[in-house]
Amino acid sequence: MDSVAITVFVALFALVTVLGFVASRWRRGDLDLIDEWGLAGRRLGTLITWFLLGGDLYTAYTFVAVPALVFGAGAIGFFALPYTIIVYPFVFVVFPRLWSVSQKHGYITASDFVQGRFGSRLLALAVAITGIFATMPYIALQLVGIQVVLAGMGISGSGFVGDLPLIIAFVILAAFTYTSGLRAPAMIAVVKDILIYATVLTAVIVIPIELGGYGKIFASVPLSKLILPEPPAGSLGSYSAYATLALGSALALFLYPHSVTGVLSASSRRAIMRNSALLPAYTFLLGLIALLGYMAIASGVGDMPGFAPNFKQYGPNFAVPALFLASFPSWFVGFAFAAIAIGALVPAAIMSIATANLYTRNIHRIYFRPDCTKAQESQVAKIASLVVKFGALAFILLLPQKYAIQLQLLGGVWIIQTLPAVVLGLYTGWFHRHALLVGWAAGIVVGTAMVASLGFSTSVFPLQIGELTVPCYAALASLIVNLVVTVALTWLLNIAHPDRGRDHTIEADYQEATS
Amino acid sequence: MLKQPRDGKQNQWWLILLLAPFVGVLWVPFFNRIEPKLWGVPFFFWYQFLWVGISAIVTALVYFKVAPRLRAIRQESHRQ
Repeated sequence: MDSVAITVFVALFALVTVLGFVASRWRRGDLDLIDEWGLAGRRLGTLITWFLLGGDLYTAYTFVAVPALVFGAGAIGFFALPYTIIVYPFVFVVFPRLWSVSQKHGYITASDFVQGRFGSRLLALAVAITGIFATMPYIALQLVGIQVVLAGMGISGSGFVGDLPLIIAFVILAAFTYTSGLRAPAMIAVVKDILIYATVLTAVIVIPIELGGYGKIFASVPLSKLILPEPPAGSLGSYSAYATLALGSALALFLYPHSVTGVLSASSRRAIMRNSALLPAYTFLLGLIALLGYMAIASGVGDMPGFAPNFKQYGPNFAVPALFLASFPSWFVGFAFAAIAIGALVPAAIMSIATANLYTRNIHRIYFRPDCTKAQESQVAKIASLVVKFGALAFILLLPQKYAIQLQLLGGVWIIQTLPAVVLGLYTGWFHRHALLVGWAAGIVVGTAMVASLGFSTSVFPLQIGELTVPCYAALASLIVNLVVTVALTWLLNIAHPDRGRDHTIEADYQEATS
Repeated sequence: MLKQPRDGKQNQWWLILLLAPFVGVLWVPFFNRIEPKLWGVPFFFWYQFLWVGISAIVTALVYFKVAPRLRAIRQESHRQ
């Protein structure tokens, strides 16, 4: 155990704990309203939205898993860069419309919007359940980020005592989310980002100096990992895999409940547009973090006997912690590990709030307590956020980690199936509600079957188009199935069975508020 | 009065610029190469890093071109 690192780590963790509770008084609002608890009163300006979305989308798991993929599999792991480049032009065009219509009608979740647009409780339920199921394993994976850094500091073990630090971290998280709502992660995100930027910028300067420069680092990476392998004859190989992973992930990212929560808590649609130009700063950071995977290869940490037990247990996910341990003095290791662990708290808090909002607004309020008061609604959301978090904790402590990873992989395939209702729904009410529901189901079944046929080990499915093999991200392939079914069935139903749900929105609701 | 809506339509064309990043980073065969290196960094990496900056600048540019139109609409509605 490294006592200096642990002291720094614990001190920083204590600081954000205090912040998390103090946050309840920040821009004070009535936390008995779900708007205030779950969306921080929709009052976050451009800068805080930048911190919040940055902390929300670029999670601790991302910071561990992306360099781990580069370390283990090579250049394919870099798809995270085009993915987080193209997502912002998409957000710039599409999501101000969601903000405006939600502001106008008081929507808290994407499912609220779908209900209002298409007038179908069943479709809204499908969107809500998809969001909850896609997010739960994502929360669980944030714990993996905390686990690997704890192990890096020598805190690991079996049984209850070994799990205790993780349980303590999660109890703290649960408590301040309960009392402060979205204000807590918004405030902590500022500290988290300062820590992350400081860590990564230090790492990409100091480690290359120790290793003899970037030229040397890239020279020590085997060619097979340095760029994508040339596709074999009759296949688009890694090229289509890379491009479809980037495109599919970009289309899926802002459909996740925690992204929607981040978007809707902004104070104006302009805050979202400005952030589309400002958030690439995090993409740049993510690219640098991906390079840490190559630095880990160049430094040879994978073969150092001291790290062998942790690599055995955590696989390539231990690459970055190992690199930091090998390159930094103890106090900075504590600082960097705290950055990762606190980086897990922010998205975990927002994800649990977002799923709690979904449960409360679109399941509880509709199916169990249609007559609940605003205060009861907020109370249910607070309790739901606790249930979600402890569910995630139990998941990670009781089941093998690979299930969380596989479910998170499937989560991307599932959440993208809400794109026709949520994203295309922002532009047109033409789609028939039943068609959207059948398309959604078709997409889920086909996408899940694709990933299952690959043994849940990867989400890149080898499509056969004539003679050509096109490895394609299953989310994108199944989305196409979904779209074809939705369009064809809408066309048929509009002729045969034109009873449409009531559309509560008008085009002006989607444009800039004029009041 | 007639001029304003027409300006609005023209401003919408700026949105097409937002397609550039998609073309830039999704056509993999174009950038999946090692040479030319920049300060020892293979093309594959510095090219994609470059697009992070280009994409942000393009988005900012489109924002400044589209935003005045929004302001004009808002001012007009205030006048009404």
